[in-house]
Formats: sequence, C-alpha cells, structure tokens
Amino acid sequence: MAEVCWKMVSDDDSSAKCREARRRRVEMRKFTSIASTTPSLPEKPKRKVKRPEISDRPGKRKRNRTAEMVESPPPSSSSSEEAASSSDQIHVSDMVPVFGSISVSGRSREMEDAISSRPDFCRPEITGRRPVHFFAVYDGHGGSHVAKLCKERMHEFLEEELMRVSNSSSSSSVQQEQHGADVSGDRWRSAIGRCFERMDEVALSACACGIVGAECGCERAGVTSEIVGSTAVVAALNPDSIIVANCGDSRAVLSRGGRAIPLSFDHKPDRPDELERIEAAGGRVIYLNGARVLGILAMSRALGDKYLKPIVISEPEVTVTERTQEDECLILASDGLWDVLSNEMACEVARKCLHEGNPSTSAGVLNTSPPGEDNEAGGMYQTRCTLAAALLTRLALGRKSADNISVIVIDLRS
Amino acid sequence: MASDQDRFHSCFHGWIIQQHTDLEDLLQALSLDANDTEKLILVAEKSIKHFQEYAEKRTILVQDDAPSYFSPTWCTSLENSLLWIAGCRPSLSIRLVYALCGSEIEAQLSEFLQGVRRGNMGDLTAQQLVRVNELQCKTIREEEKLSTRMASLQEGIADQPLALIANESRKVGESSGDAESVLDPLALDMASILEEADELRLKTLKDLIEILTPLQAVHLLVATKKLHLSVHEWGLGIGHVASLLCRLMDLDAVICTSKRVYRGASYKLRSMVDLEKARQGITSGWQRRQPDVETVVVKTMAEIG
Repeated sequence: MAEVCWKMVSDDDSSAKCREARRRRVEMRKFTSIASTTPSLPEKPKRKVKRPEISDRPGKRKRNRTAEMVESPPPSSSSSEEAASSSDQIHVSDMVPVFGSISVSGRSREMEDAISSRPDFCRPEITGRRPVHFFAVYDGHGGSHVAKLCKERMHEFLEEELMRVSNSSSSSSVQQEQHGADVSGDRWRSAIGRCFERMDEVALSACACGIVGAECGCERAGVTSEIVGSTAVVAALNPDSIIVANCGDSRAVLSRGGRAIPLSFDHKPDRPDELERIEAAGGRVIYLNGARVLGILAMSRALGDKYLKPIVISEPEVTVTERTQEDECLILASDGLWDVLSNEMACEVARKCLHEGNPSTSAGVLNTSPPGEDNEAGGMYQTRCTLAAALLTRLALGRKSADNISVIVIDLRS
Repeated sequence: MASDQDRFHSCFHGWIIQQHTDLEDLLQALSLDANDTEKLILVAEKSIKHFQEYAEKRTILVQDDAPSYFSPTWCTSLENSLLWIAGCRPSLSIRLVYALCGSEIEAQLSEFLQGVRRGNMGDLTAQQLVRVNELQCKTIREEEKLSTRMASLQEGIADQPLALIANESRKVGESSGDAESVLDPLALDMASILEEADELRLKTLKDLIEILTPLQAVHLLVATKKLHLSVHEWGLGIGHVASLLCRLMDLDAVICTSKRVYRGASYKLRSMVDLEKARQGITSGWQRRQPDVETVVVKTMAEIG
C-alpha cells in the first residue's frame, strides 16, 4: 500500500513546488505509516508519533488542536467543546480507517484512471469537527487529464466547501440537532454539489495538455479538450455516516452484514430517468456499441465533456448512509472492475479477505517474497485491504477486463 | 543474397530449437525443483541468457540485410502478420502476466480465500501489480517511440531524395547508384530500430523476471516459450509449406505441378522435421528421374502422414 500511496503522491510533480502539495505529501507519508499498522493497536502511541509532525505545519486550526493534544493528552484547560471532541478522538471510530487501493492500466494501452485517498482530510463542523476521510475513483475518457485534475483538486474543493458550510451554520448547531440527519444530509448535498460544480468548471477550462486556464498556448489548446472528461465516485467517510457522490459509471458498494448494498447508481444513458433527462435536454441516445449519448459517450453524466454539455451534466447523485455495526467494508472501483464482477461477488471476496485472510501467510507459501518486497522494513505491509484490492484486480484481469482497473477497499469494522 | 538468407534462416531455426530445449528444462525445473529457489533462478537465468545471445547474433546479422527481418521468409505468414519491428511486441510479456495471474486466481479463488498460497502467478501481490503496471506504462511509451520512428522511416521514402530518384528515372525500377546510396542507409536505419526493439523486448522480460518470484518467473518463461513455439507451429499452413518446400528444394516445377496434391496433404506437415523429410523424399524421387512427379509427392506425403 505504501508503494501505491507514495507513487500517487510523487506523481504530483507539477504542483510539487506548491507548499500545499508538500503539506499533503507529509500527510500522506504519515498516513501510510499508520495505515500500514494493524488497526487493533492502541491508538495513543500512534498519535504520539504522529502529532509532532503535524504541529510544525502552521496555519490550520486542527493542527493547533492536535498539537495541543500531544503536549497534554486530555487537555483540561481547553474549552469544553474541544475537550469533548478530543476525548471523542480517542474513540475508535475516529481512527483513520485501514484501506488498500490499486490502480492499473490492465489491458488498455492508455492509463486514464486515477484514484485519490485522503484520510482525515478535514474536520468540519458538520461532523462535530470529527475527521472526514476522502476516497475517490476517477475514470477518464478521451484522455487522462480531467481524471488527473480531479485527483489533484477535488478534495481541496470539497474541503473548502465543507469548511464553509460549518462556518455559515455555526450559529444553528442546535437547529441542526433538531432536524437531525435530514438537515445534515442536505448540507452534505449542497457542499458536494458546489464542489462538483467547481471541479467541472476547472475541467472545462483546462486544456488537453492538463494546464488550467485559457492561455495555455499549446498546439492542442481548444481542439481535443472538447470530449475529454472523467467519472467521479467520491466517498466522504465520517464516524457516523458514509456520504457517496457519484457522477458517471464508477461505483461505490457497501458490504453490510454479508450483503452488497450499492451506494451509487451508474449514470448510463439507457437508465430510464437519465434517458428522459437527456431527451428533455434535447439530446438523443444512440445505440452504437451500447447506449451512448449522441452515439458518443457511454455514460449520461461526467465531469468535463464540453462538447456534450448541457446534455451530459456534472451534477452528482448523493447518498447518505448511516453507519452500522454490521458494516464490513466499502469498495470504490471503476467500471474495469464492475464490468466483469458483480457487486455481490466483489463484496464476498473483499469480506472473506478481511475476515479470513491470514496476513501471516500472505508472504507466500515458498517464503520467496519477490525481490525488493521487504515486508519487515516497512516497504509494504500487505494489509488485508490491500490484499483484497489486489485480489479483486487480479480477478478482473482473469475475467478479461479490457479497461483500466482501479479499486479502493476500506475496512469499516471498528 | 541467398547465403545471407541461409544464415538468417539457420539463426532463427537454431533459436527455435534452443527454445524447445529451454522449455524442457523449465518444465523439468517446475516438476522436480519447484521448491528449490536456487535451481529456479538458475534455469530462468539460462533461458534469458539464450534469448540475449540470440538477440546479439541477430544484431550482427541484421546489418547485412535489415529488410529481410521485417518480412522474414523463415517465419510463417501467421508469425509475420503478428510481427512488430521484426519480433513480438515487448508489452506482450506483460499481457501474458495479466492473463496468467487472472486465470490462475480464478481457478484457485476458494483456496486463496482460505489462506492457501501456491506461489504461482495467481498470487501476484499488490506491490508486484503496481510494479508490473509501472513497467507496462513505461514499456508502452517506449513502444510508441519506436513505432513513431518506424513510421517516419516508412513515410520518408515518399520524400526526397528517394521519391525524386524514382520519379526522374526513365525506366521504372531502373537501378542506379543514386538509389542504392539512399537505400543502404535506409536499411541501416531499420537495423538500428530493430536493434533497439530487441533491446526493449529483452529488457522488458528481464524487468518482469526481476519483479516476479523465481517460481513465477519460470512460469512466465514457460508460457512465453509455449506461446512463441505454438504460434510458429500453428502457422505452418498450406501456403507456407508449399513456399518453404519450393525454397528448400529449388524445384519450382515440382511445386507448380503438384499444388493440387499439397492442398490435400500439407496440413499433415507440422514441423521443420517433417518438411525436411518431405524435401529429401521429393528430391530423391526427382533425382531418380521418375517421370510422374505427382506420384512421388503423393507417396512422400503419404509416408509422412
């Protein structure tokens, strides 16, 4: 897993100069060291390691807060709200979840998928300042640059929108409790809606070479960027609920009590409500190698795709799901997986990996780890989630998936 | 030219025979020494070394007549139709890893979920997958670069000076020093592209072996050899047998008069050994000046069958 994350981060060379990116990288490294440990370890010692690193990053409230906690675990002197949430943080549900991910080109010669994992990416008031973890799969088409942009920016937009929600509604926290989950759900919906809107604007203004803004000056400017886009399935995981926003045909599926529950619904042009919407917008669905909008795009919603606006929209469908004790894991994946594996099969495989897979035997029956794969030295510890993600990928390859395959498996058991 | 062709042919033929031997060694290692890591590494290294030696030999030979390697007469038309810069696509070995790991995990899924690890390609770990993916992306980029160079070389012949030389010659195809002075460097350019393609093929395979465990590496090499040798054999169809016989015997007349017969019998010819037998049989019949050539051919074919 560590490898996967490191790779993901080091890919962002273009923005490496930016301090923000550096911050993220630090965060990612820190995270991988956490994710690489078993979740059953007591939380406190890990925090001790983690805190000093965070405290040297200036500027953000949560950092001050976390720094505070290092110096004085249960901080008696801080405000009551802070103290309450601080002690909450020791609670197991606030831990960074264990997850594993993999993204491979597979049988396609072009790599257009991107994945993004940002655990503890913000602590907005909407969750009572408890951590929200961000996971997303983007499946690009017509090129990889919209998917790459999503990977770079989507979580930033969502963070900004979520923090804004909590600021504007800070006075009405009582009201929020009164109206319960509905209001909270609506807040999530509107924040995510604005986040997707902003992401779409960036995608539309980006040149095919990946540079954002009109004045890019490269020879491909304005020519090939017309039908470049990406799907997005975004999961914002917090201690109480799973919020999934979807646009396109990537999918999030929850394994709960042995059942597979889809948390997103593919935007296919032949889905009755989508077909109706497309036709109402003046578009047509033509069957050319499957149902396609104007005979071009095999999905009815996507980020980007200037040429197909306003028929293809970027508005996500959002589901809010309360977490339960029965929840086992969450799988996000691109259609490279879902085209060849059913929700049930994927959940069953992931579940068995998490429950029964014995990590101690995963080093290989012959004790011959592949060269360079040093399990001891923190190179990559095969978490069960990573094992599950890799297994799902291999199964998809075995079932002749011809597309890029991206899978994120998140362990939801506390 | 003829002697060039013979050297090329025997180089390729030698490589096919070498691969048969290597395949046997690899299979033997799998059945007898599957737990002996040292042995597996050794047998894999030997196989790679032979591939390297073949590539080096080719590099020298190709300097004499690169175009021959782009449509080799010593390969079957099936093989030729699958060629990418006079060989297989380097990314093919990566696809083979995907195919093997996928089919194996599918077959042993329930075992795997019970914690059983066989150590074969089906057990490819996440880190291995990530590294194979990186290698794939890199290899495909390199392939594209070489494809582009090949494309500009091919397009270049419609440009100066070759196109002008052709256009200005009085007789079509008239040989001239001018044309040769352009065609020779063209062949050398081809040779250098071919050399780099061979390097990429070899490097991709070596990098893959590096990522895989010794056992997985041997599995991959077995699959690579079996695929190459099978494609070679599958391609030995009617047309190819006829043309190979024609070339081997240098008896155009025999072939022409007995085409009808070949159509019926040639499917039985499955290897170079059979071809050699056929050639000897027909030639000896010819030398004995038997009047009815067709009878000889039919008799020979029947004996082989």
